Amino acid sequence: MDIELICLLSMLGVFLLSNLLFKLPVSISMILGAVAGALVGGEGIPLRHLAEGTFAYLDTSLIISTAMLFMAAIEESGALEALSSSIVRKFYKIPALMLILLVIVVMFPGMITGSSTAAVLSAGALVAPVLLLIGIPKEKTGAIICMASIMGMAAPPINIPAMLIGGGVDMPYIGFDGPLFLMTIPAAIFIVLFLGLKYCKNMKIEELEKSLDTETGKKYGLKLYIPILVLVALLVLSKVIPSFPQLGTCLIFLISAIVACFTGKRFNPWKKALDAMETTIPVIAKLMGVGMFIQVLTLVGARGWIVVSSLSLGLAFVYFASCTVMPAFGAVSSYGAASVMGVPFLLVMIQNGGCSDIVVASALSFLCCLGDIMPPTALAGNYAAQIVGLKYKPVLKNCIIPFVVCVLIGLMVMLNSSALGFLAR
Amino acid sequence: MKSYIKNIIVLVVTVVVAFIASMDFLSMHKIEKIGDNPNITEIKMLSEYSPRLKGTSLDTEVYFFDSGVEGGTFLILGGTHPNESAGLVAATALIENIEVEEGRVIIIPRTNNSGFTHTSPFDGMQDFFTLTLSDGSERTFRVGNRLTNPVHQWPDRNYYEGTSGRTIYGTENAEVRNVNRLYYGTEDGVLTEQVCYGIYNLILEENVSITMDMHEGSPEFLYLDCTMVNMKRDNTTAMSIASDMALSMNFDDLDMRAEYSGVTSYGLSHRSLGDNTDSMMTLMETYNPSMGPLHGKMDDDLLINGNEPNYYEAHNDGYIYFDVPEDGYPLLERVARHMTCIRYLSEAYSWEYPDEAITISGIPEYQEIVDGGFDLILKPL
Repeated sequence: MDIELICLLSMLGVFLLSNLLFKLPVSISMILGAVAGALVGGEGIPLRHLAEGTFAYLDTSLIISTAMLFMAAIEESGALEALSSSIVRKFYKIPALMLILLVIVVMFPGMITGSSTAAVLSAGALVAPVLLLIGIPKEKTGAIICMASIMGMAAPPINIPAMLIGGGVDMPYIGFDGPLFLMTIPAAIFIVLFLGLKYCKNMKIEELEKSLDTETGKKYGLKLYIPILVLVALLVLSKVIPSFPQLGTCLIFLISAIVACFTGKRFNPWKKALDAMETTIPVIAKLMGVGMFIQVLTLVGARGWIVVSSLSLGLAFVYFASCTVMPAFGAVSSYGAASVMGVPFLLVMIQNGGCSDIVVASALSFLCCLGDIMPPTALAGNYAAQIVGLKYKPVLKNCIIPFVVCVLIGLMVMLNSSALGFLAR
Repeated sequence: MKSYIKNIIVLVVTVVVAFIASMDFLSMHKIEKIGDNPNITEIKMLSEYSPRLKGTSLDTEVYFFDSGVEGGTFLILGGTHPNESAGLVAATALIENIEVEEGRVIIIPRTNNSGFTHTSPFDGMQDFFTLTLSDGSERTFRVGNRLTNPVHQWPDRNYYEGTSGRTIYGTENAEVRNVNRLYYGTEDGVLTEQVCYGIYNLILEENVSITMDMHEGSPEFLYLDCTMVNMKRDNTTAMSIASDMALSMNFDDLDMRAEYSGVTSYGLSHRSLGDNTDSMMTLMETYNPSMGPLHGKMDDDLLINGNEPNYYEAHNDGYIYFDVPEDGYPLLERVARHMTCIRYLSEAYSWEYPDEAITISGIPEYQEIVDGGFDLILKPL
C-alpha cells in the first residue's frame, strides 16, 4: 500500500473518530486528522505547516467576520424586516416573477465577489425573511438561499474556480460569460420555482400583512436602506473604477455596519458585535482546521496521489469524477477542487479533442462551485441554515434534487461543449 | 471562573505554538550568501533605481560585471518567482563564475527578495534545500513563493490597473504581488510595482541591450523549454537571435524553441519591458516538477533530483503534454540549461551586433556542468 494512501486513511480515520466517536468539534477533529497525517508521513508535528495552512483562509475569515457584523447591524436597525414587507406587498400578485427576482437578488453579491458566503450573508439574509413570510418552509427557504448563492458564485462576471482552472492552463479569463450564464440562470430559476412556487399559490396578502412589520418602514423611510446602498455602491465602485479608493471588502462591510447604527432603530453595537462574532468563530475555526488538513495532505504527498490515482482510471472516469469527486472535494475547498482537479481534468478533455476548452472550463468551474454545499465546511449551507434558524441537515436534504439537476446541467454542457462553443466568443 | 481558566489555558497554548512556529517563519528571512568573484566590479541596490524601495524588504542586490571594453549590456534576472529554484541557483552560479571580456553583464539573483521570505499556503513546501559539495561544504538555497510576502504588501486590492495595461481583479487579486505582472512599473505604485520600476529604470539608465528573465513552470504549462521574445526591437532580428540560441541548444540535444510574446501578455517582463524600453527582452522557462498540483511529497528528491513519479504517470496516461522524464529532471540540468541559454544568447547577440558584442567566459558547456555537478559552478563558502 502506498504511503500516501496510508497517510490519507490515517487523516480521515482520526478525523472521523474524533468527530463521530468522541464528539469533538469539526475544527478540532480536522486539526487532529492533520497531525495524525503528518506523524504517519514522517513529518513529526509540523507547527510551521499547521500555522501556514490557516493563512490560506485569513482573508476569507476577515470577510466573513465583517459581513456578519454588517448583517447583525441591519437586522437590529429594522432594515431587513422593512425590506421584506415592502417586497412582498409589491410583488405578491405574480409569485413566479417575484421568486425569480428574489433569487437574482441573492445571486448578485456572489456574481460581484465570486463568493457564495458573501451572497448568503448579504442578500441571502435580506431575502430569507421574505421567503419565510410568503409561507415557504424554513428548510426549503434555507435550500433556496444556499443554492442561489452558489449560482451567484458560479455566474459571471467573477467566477473564481473558472479563473483558477483557466490560470492553470494559461487560458485568459475571457469568453466565459456566455457558458456561465447558460448554466446558472436556468438552474437558479428551476431551483426557486421547484422549491418555492407551490407555497406561493395560495398566498393571501391580508394574512401576510398581519405578520409584516410596516411601522419601522414608515417611521424611518428610505433612510433605513442607506447601509445597504452604501455596501452595494462601495463594492461595485471599488471593482469597476480603478481610481476609486481601494477600501477592501472587510472595510466596506464595516463602514456599512457603522452607517446602520445611525439609520434605524437604536441598538447596542458592542453587544450585537459580540453576538455576531460568537456565531462566526465556529465557522472560522472550521476553515482553519480545513486549512491545516489540506496543507498536511499536500505535505505528505496525498493530494498528488489522489489526483493521479483518479486520472489513471480513464476519460469516462474523468467525467464521472467531475460530477462527483470534484463537487465532493468542496467539503475541503471548492477553490482547492478547481486547482487540484479542475486543471488536470480540463487537460484530459482538451487532450481528447472535439471540445470547446472555454465551455468545458466553465462547466468544470460550475461543478466546483457546487462544492460549497458539501459538509463539513459547507460555507453556503451552514450560513443559509443559520439564517433560517435551523441545523444544516434539513437544509441539505432539500438541496439534493437541485444539486443533482445542476450536476446534470454541468455534465450536459461538458458533453456538448463543441456545439456550445459559439457562446464562448 | 472555570471558563476563565479554560480560556487562559487555550490562550497560553496558542501563544506558545505561535511562538515556536514564528521561529520557523522568521528563519525564512535570512538571506544565503553568494560566493566572491574578483570579476564583480560593483554591487548596487535596486533602490538606486527606485528610491522608495530603500530600507524595504523588496530592495535587492544588483551585481555588475564591467569588462571596461565597449560593447552591449546583458541584464540577467533570477528569482523573479522564488519558487522557481533554477533561476536563483543559475544566477548565483553566474555571479560566482563569469568573467566579462566585452561589454557588461548585470545580474539580479533575487528579483523579488520578499518572495523568498515565505512559502505558499496549501502547497506544503519545503522552505529550503541544501546542496552538498565534494569537499563536504554545504550550499543552502531558499525556496520561496512566486508572490511578494503579504507581510510586506497587504491587503491585495480588489481592482488594480498599473502601467502595464493589465487589469488585475477577481482571483488575480494576489497578482498585484507578482513582479512579472506589473511591468514596466511606477515609482509611486505598490511595493512590487516599485521593483518593476527599478528594473525598468535600470534598463534605461544602464542602456541595457538584452535581458533574460529566468523562470520555471509546472508540467501543465504549455511553454516549457521555450524562450519568449518581444518582437519590437528590430522585429525579426530579435527572433533571429533567439532562434540562433534555440538552434545551438538543439545541436547540443537540448529541446528549446523561441516564440513571440503573446499580444495580451501585459505586465510580463518580455512583453511590457520590451514594449517600453530599447532592450531586447527574453524570458525562458524550464520544467519544474515541484510546482504543479500533482506533485508528491516535497522533499530533496523532488527539489534537487526533480523526481516526480506522479507527473511521469500522468504523462504516460496522456494528461500532460510535456515529455516528463522517467528518472526525473534534476535541478542541476535545469540550471545548466539556463546557463547554456544565456551563453548562446550572448553569442548570438554578438554575432548579430558585432559593434555591441557581449563576450562572457566562465560558463561551462552544458554537458560539462551535468558531468561536473554543482562543484563546477558553485563555490564552497
